Amino acid sequence: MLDALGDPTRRSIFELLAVGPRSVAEIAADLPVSRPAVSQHLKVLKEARLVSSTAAGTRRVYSLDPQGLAAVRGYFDQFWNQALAAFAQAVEKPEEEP
Amino acid sequence: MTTDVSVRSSIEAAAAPEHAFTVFTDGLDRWWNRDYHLLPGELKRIGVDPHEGGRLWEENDAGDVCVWGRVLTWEPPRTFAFLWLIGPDWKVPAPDATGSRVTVTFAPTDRGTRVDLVHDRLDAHGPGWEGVRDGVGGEGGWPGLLRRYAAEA
Repeated sequence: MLDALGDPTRRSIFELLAVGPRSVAEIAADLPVSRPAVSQHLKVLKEARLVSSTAAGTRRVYSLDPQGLAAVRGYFDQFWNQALAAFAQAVEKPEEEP
Repeated sequence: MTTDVSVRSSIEAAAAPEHAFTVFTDGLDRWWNRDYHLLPGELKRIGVDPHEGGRLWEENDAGDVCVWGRVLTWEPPRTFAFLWLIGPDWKVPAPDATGSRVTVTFAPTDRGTRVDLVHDRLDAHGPGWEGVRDGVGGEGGWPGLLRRYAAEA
């Protein structure tokens, strides 16, 4: 399930959707990725139940799956990976002045 | 459906477990990402009361303090576990907030210390973590993550 977030572009899309629902075109405008590539990534995220989509008029809007514990896991997975990396740096560098 | 919703993360650091444990707990303020906080304003300090039942707390630049966790296990230099009361929306926890659990273990290796972190009982924050949609525009949490991604890209 979390493999879906192993890809940096998919992580970026996931983070973007955390800010608010977006269409494929809007995602593609914010990232250096083509629309077809965005669609492909969204498909993977949907299959992992991280993202869901709804029709809004003529367009389809994507958002984080609000029912999905997968999204909660994805969130904390990223959070702790980043936190531990920062922690390890702090462990290995000399104590800073308070 | 299983109720054991958890994530795991590990890292190795070139220092003895005693030092790693101290930096993780007493030194929390040194490595914590300043973008993550619950109170409005800037994060001034974040800390852990070093005993079982102790608070995990933060203080903002206005001097307000809030508690976002409780120490469950305090066994230096091997195990540190705490109740995590923060949902993905990074709002100040309600007095009756249910929490998930974070367990951090420190094991000696040839290189130094292997740190294993397990954050489980995550279903306490879901399903339907509806707060996320309301909270994402706040000062903590997601926007900070996004800024980091933007900086890396």
